[in-house]
Amino acid sequence: MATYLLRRLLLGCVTLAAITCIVYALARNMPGNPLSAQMGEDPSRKITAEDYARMQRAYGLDKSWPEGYLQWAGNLLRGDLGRSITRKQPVTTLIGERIGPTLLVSGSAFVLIWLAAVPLGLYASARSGRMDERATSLLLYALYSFPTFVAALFLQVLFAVWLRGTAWELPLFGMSDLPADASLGPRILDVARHMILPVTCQTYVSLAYDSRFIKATMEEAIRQDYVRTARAKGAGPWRVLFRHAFRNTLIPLVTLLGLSLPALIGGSIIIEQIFTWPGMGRLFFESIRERDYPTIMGLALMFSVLTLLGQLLADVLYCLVDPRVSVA
Amino acid sequence: MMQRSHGFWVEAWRRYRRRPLAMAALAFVALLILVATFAPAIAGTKPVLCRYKGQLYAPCLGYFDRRFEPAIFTKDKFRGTYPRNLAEKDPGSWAIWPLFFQDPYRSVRANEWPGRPENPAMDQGRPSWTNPFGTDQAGVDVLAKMVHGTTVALLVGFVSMGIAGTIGIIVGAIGGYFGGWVDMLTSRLTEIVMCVPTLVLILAILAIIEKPTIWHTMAIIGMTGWTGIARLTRGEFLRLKGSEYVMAARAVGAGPARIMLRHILPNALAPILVPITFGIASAILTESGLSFLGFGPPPPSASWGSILNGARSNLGMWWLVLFPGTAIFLTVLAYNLIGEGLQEATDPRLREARK
Amino acid sequence: MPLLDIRNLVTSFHTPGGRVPAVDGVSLSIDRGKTLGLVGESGCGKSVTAMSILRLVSAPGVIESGSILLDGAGGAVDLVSLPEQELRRIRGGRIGMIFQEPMTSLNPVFTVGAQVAEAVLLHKGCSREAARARALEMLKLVRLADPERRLDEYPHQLSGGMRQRVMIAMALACEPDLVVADEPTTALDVTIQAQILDLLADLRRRLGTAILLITHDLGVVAETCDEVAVMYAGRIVERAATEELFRQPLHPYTIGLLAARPDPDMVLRVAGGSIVRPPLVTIPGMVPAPDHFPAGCRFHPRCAYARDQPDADGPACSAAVAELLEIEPGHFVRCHYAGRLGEPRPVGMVRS
Repeated sequence: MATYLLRRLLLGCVTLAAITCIVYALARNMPGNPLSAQMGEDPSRKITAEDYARMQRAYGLDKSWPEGYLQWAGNLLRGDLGRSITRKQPVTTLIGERIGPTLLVSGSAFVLIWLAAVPLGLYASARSGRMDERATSLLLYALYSFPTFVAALFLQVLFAVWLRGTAWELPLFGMSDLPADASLGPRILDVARHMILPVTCQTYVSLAYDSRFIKATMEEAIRQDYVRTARAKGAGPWRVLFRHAFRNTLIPLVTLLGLSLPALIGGSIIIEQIFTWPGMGRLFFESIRERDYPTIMGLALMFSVLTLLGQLLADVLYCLVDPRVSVA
Repeated sequence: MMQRSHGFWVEAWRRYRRRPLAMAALAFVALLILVATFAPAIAGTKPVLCRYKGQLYAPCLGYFDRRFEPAIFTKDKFRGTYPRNLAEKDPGSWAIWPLFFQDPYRSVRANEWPGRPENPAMDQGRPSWTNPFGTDQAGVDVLAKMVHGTTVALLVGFVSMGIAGTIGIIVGAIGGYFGGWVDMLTSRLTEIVMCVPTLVLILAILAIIEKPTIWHTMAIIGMTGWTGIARLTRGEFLRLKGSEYVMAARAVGAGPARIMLRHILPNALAPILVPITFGIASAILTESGLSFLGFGPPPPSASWGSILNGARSNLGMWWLVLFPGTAIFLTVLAYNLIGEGLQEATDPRLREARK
Repeated sequence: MPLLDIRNLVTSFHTPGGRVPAVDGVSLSIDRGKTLGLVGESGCGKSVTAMSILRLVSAPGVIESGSILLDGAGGAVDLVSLPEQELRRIRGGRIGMIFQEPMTSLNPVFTVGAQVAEAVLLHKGCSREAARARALEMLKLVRLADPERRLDEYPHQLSGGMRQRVMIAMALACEPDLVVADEPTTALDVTIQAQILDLLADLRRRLGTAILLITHDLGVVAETCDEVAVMYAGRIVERAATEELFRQPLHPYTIGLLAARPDPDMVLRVAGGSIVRPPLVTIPGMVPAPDHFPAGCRFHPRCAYARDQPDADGPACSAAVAELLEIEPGHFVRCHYAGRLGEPRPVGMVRS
């Protein structure tokens, strides 16, 4: 196990180096730089050519991208992700600020998804072929094909425009409307109200996908010989379903769980953008627009690490649930 | 193991046909192809066919490409307005008009079509008889935009998945067939592309390209969307390369290229087609998502996602959400249903269970 | 009354192509402590018969008619109409089942011990510890090497023969009155087959369990069974005590099956007292698929004795269905010409 992990980690580092290098090259080759992007937004901040050159030097923007990348990588090895050029803050601080709101939304969505997907999937496989199951499955299928951004807009139109002024009205944007000094109770309530729409949007697609996945793997498991054995032993339908079949479907499920890790912490760019939720996805989008190289790199690194870790986690979990597989 | 033959696909099609939803989805995509092909004849302000100064012209072709619009109309200063100009400049002229007189790229002016009012702009453009799906902020008809945007939605799916399928099959086939260090390299490459956040890659590349067009978007979606196909192809090739008939082919001296193309690929094709179909759905989602965020193709390419973008700044204009949103949803659903139908029709395990 | 009495069982599959009767009017009975062999080629419906007993036929299969009477302390119950709840007490409790594929019939994610213990827990209402102890006892009984260690191992760590022993332990854990063994040795090596059969025979003697042994192997039947039923195309064609059947087969299909055994010194005595060499070395043609059963006697297209035209002795074999009749005491045959078959046609002339 230890050698396997070490091998995977080493390979992961090589992959990471390649990914960060590609992202850095791409970012630096986008037209414009953080300085011009900022000035484009605010004409009053016109500066002289000397000032511009001085600032370019200060941020290391005068160097070519390979040099810049090596410098970034060197700093990274010393544990320094650099400072955001446009926000004048260390990248780690920025990520620290944004990770909370993202986790709030994606964490709630994650819990909701699994709380609902497992019973839904089991229900669908238990009643497979009946009318109610077919209707549910078709609805889930439709939900799965429903684009998040369309759903987000629909929900905004419904709750923020058509229901404006009623008790059902929900806030459109942001995380909280209350001033920072408001007391805790109302603040929690306010944030919760702001969370409803983003969490809904982030939940339904995965819910539909995961419950369909569970149903498919359950139906696969139910066809196996060992399920017949269990029935021949006198096990009842629920025992067969839960103990014998479901235990086997856990194996592909944990893979799914591992692969959902990057989305859990990385958040969704589109959803955070639509609801102006101050999370990681929005930070990523903004940093690309502002050409804020250190932030782009920090976030890209984080996403890549999470993706690779998620895969590793999936494989390790796989070994834990399936007695037939050993990594050695 | 038996080689999949002509009969396999006949049988698969027979099973596919038994699924009414999958057939409906196929019919829907066929309808979209028709709409895309005949878009200028369905909605437009340029005649499908007209006789002008003794000659026959088809100005509607200009919707496919500016250069197809006959030069005489530019020379005679029509400026895109045909009905009045035709009548004034050649009283003996006649024209066959599109089914629906609205332009996807500009607002129709008052009396441009005799008796028709000007298209309403801003939040006044709710659906009406003249504009069944309403108009956007600039007064452009949404239905006309959607009819012409069908081309984009279809092309995005086919072109980007064509690219992704080609790359994915080649990378996966090479890795799975040769194994060893080749497999190591292709697997790392797949992993790298999988780990780079897709949206970042797409946004960055679109920013680097001087004048991004819809074709660039398609190419980039294709170049980032092949990893799943590559993994599956690799698995299929790994599995099939040990099969008896591949051994037999090798025994009679077939080279690797021949074995991969003639012996393994046809047998691996059915499972690979499934993620490609699902990929078409997700490519359409990605493109409309990009357009929605404002990174879509610049005008005059009309994409369904870019109509949605207009609704973001004014949520009161619900028709800008409802119609294009439904169109995107139905198209994605159709491709997903086709993919699922394909999966059930070609998966041997599911087939046995159904016996 | 026999322990298990199957009467006119009809199990068919409803496919898009129509109704397919895989088991078409089968009647069987097994006495307490006896072994009945159910023999036939693959596809003849013997496994579906076995599955029907515990109502384990999977969709689209349905038991359409007939009864399966299981005798017990409170009188006989009909397994066909028994409510699911009560049937579950019989599954694994009074009737144990052993399947053909020991590789896939055990759940890969549970230990061997847990799976045997589950059978005990489901029926005996005892503690986990007691169930585990019983599982260990059963593993010892089926002579699994190193049972204490095996208890906590997973199926993939065991060989095929060992897994089949585990299956047997599971089937016998609640001391059932009857064990249905569906081709229990088919998937195993020849040497292991013999060991498993010995084990089954030994356990029957010690525990007094009746066994319904489903197999295509007449050699297995000869060694282990008290009585044999031969099945062809969804119907029983011949039923007799093992010795009687091997001494004097009356149905042309049974004659063919016996002749097809790889035994060069085999000599058959056909009714009438003459000793002949087997007329056929293999039975020509194939078992018909359940959706293409021929009219009349279902074996007639492959039968070397079939009559094309009705004559003074009886009807044309393609026209009339023969009944299962008791030709001699305890010897049932489904053939119009049982006991008076006449001379077989040359092999080459047999229609396929």
